[in-house]
Amino acid sequence: MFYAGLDIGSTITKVLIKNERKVCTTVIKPTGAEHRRLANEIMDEALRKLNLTTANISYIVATGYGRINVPFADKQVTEITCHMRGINWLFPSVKTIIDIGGQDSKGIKVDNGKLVNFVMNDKCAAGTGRFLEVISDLLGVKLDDIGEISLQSTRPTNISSICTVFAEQETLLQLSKGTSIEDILAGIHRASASRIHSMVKKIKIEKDVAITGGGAKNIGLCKALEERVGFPVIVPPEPLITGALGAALIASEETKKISKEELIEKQLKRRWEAVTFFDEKPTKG
Amino acid sequence: MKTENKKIKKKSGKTLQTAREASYFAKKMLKNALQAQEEGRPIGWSMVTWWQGELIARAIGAELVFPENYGAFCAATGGAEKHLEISDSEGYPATLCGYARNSIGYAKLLSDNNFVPYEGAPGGGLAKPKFFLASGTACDARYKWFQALKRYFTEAPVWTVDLPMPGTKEFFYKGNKELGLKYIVDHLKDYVAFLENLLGTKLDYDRLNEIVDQTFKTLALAHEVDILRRAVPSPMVGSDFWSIMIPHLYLPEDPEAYEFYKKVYAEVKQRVDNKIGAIPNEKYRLMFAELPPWHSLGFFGELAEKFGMAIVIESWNYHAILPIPEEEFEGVTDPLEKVAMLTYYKWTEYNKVALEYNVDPGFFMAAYFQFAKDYKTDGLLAHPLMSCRPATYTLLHTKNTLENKLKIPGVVIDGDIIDLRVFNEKEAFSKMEAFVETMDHYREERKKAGIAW
Amino acid sequence: MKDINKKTGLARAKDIYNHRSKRARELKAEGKKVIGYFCCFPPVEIMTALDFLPLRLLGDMDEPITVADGYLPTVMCIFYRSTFDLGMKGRFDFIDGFIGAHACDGAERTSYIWSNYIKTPCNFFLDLPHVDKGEAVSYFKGQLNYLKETIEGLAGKKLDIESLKEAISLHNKQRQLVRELYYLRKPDPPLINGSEVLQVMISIMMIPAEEGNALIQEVIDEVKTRQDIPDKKNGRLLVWGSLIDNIKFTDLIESSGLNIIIEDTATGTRPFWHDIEETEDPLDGVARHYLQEVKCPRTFAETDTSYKEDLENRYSYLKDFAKYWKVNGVFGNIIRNCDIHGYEIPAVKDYLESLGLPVLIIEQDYSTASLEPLRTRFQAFAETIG
Repeated sequence: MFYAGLDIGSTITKVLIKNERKVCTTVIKPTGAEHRRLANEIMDEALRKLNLTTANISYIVATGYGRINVPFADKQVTEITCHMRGINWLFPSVKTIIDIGGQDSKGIKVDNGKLVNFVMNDKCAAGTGRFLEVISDLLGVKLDDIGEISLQSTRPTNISSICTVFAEQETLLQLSKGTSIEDILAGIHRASASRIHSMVKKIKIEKDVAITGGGAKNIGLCKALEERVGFPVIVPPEPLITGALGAALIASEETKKISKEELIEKQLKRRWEAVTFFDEKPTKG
Repeated sequence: MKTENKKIKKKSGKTLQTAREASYFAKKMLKNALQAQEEGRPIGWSMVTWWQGELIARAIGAELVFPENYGAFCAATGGAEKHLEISDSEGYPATLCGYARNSIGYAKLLSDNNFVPYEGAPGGGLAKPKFFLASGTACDARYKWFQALKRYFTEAPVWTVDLPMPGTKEFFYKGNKELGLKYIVDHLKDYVAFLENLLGTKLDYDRLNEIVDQTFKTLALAHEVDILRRAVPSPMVGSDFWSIMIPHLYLPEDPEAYEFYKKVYAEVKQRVDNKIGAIPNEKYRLMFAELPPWHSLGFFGELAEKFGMAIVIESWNYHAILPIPEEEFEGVTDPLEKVAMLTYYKWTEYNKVALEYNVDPGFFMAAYFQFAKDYKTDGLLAHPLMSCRPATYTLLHTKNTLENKLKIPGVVIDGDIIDLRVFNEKEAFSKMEAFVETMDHYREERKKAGIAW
Repeated sequence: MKDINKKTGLARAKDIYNHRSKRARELKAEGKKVIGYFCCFPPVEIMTALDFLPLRLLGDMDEPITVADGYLPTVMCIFYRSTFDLGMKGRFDFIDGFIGAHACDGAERTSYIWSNYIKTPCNFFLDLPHVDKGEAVSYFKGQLNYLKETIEGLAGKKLDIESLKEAISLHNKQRQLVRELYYLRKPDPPLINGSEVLQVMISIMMIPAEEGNALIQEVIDEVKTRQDIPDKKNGRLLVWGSLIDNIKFTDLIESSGLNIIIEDTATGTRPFWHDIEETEDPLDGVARHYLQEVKCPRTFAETDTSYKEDLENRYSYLKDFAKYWKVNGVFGNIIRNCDIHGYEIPAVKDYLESLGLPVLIIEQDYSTASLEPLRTRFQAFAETIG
């Protein structure tokens, strides 16, 4: 039996298919800017890799920002629970998860494999992937490289963490002063880390701490966060996939909760269509 | 020598010698608090209550420190951000008053550090309070904030000294003023009992009488200075006032404050008598709404130099009370009653003006209508403070109505009390440049309407 | 009019909720005068006793704020900005009197600005002390007398004690009926959902008290016997904080795995939980009720105790609610820029978490357009409880 987890983030969509024993395949693709997200095609790709069809998948759990209207999902669960489950499966010792996504960041508390508390950033780009994207654009550096570059800094500049707009201005000011890009980026990462840290502190940071999401791929940000947290943090080998992994784990559990008939009934309801996002009306565009 | 002087002037915008000396009182307040701490005297964390709470607390021997001021101090010295971050992670919304968030962050650090100010706390930090003196006047933050601080000083009681705030029209209902005063006096009696009980000592009413008399004397003199400022050209400007207001707002009962205002009065009077303006070539006379961008007071120097703009009068709430007619005190012997009159009259003193112009509220807003006339102003410079809601609530409304009813235009320049970067000097400057034309236009409008001064 | 009266119970509540001023306009056409008021502090008893229809002025989460931008800054309470925006757009152009109130900064300042721009034949600003001591009650009673005198002018008659006493018992009856309605939420699942209760609560603030009482009674009878009760869900929620007045919000919450069981808000329990005492001078009971018994953090409670005792003084009623209604989670609803609730957050969390109740705090923008992004928070919160 196969179980699928589909994590439709604001910028990246991830699919993970697993069986009882192991993860069989993963696909990671941009969510895309078009208003009908082609998550079904990404799902298809994963199925093709395993030579499977949708009928082979016992249960599909959708999660992430775009989870609400997935016509082929059997259940939707928040990415908060899914990240928690994924990380808990990979690293049972983790009690605090910091998830840094494209549009938001979250703090998640785990206790014995249960979600006990969480916190999300509020209407503000500082401390999200978007913030780093803005700054990397401003500096003309590739987003993927900024973390590494920041580590070469010898004298990190002091960028205040209050607001993206201000940070932009401060960055420009530093540039005009001739501060090196390394030092500016180190300052930016520190500011971002401090913002995230002060948010996650609301739910009390306890050992062990893991970082997930796109932000976890940025080594500069991870180091800066580690500095704020005060002890080493765990970064999973593929931090983008923990949500989809958690979703697939839930999918396998759900399968066991219901009868075969119910399962088939659910599967028959699946419609292999594109995914609508909540902020889009079908008539638009 | 001359150029050096000019430099100082540019930085602080101050033109009066006495304004430069006023920082003595800020230092004195800090010194008093330190001394109280050494002597083991009780320290209260206080809001400005427009005197009613402070005078009584001091009469009974408590020393007061003002977390609001500490907020401004931390912001100016770069120490605020650390406190703000802590307030955020404690779960307080980032939309609350910036000064409040600063003191919440500081309070958390203080309580975590066994109530010893942390190493490197701005200005050496505030000492642990024995009690909180909150205020029901002006805004909700002024009592909710201290109530919240109790979380970090679990045994310190919070006392809210309240003030009636009826509507303008309602204030004049028969008997309502007396009802308000009675409420305050009864309420202050409760407050005295609270302090006596907490501090284990009786209030010396003779001492309170002295304090109250001295306060009235100081405030009357401070008001005389305000009157001198009606002269054209303006003998002093906003940057002077924001320094000299400290003693009358915070230490009006201190005889040194009175002596100080004598000197201020003499200096300003001398300028008026000789028709000396605080700024050269005064062309535009502006009212200023709310607190200034503390870190950029040089901005006002620039405005003076480039456009001949003088800030001739500022927000009503920081000014001394208008004199209370002698006859109102007839038969009044209880100093608590005098205290009640002081604060309540201050908060209702422009209600008549509000009625005359049919604008509401009488506080915060109506005074500008009187100021506009008395100080012959050309415009309103409104500086809303992002994280101070009550300072901004009525500003747009004030600006609108001044334009409509008196043809006094206004300009809005955003700023903040804690996030000093909100104020963008360059942008502000170009706004002011454009505002010159607006003021010229309205001058003509006023002439046409027959309300020119 | 016939049409609206044909509907009964929940259907009627839904109808009134959707057309909030319809009944007021009908009654006005029949010669009744309408007084619009802010928040839950101006005593509706005095208005009812003088034959007015008291009508609660609310904002509209569906209506983008446009006109108010020129008068009220964006940093202020969004609910009152919205209410003022509607006022400027003529949504309440039928009211004969306006009673503003010093409920909080937002209500207070908006009351002033309102009376500058939105003219009604009669208006009054009700000052409300911040403390609940005896001297404050005396002062407040004085203000109630002035309120009475002012609207007596509009009514063209004097208020007699007997009609005030009758109005008090009529509104006390309403309070009792509201509580009865809330008791129907005790079972799991509750017999009535949060959106339905909200429709009833909004309705009774828009129609005369007798009609409101009849409506609640109909709803109680209907709900007691109906078959289509809400689904059982993970969460049984206590809502604390700023008000909710739009069912799109409660629908969002209740479609995220949570049942709303009780609301400690200004459109929920707060105006209805305590009955006005019968006193010789009825205004004594009225003054004490509004200043001392309407639970809202805008009224400062004495704190001459330890922090723990202080929390107990301020929030023990929440413990009673939680126990009786068997809630297992609390949603702290903060309309952005609400200071009086904002400063309470850590304290109320300290208290509720000490009772073992998880708390979800959300600062929201009082706009249905920005509700959907909150779904993840509610759903994750339900997953926490589940």
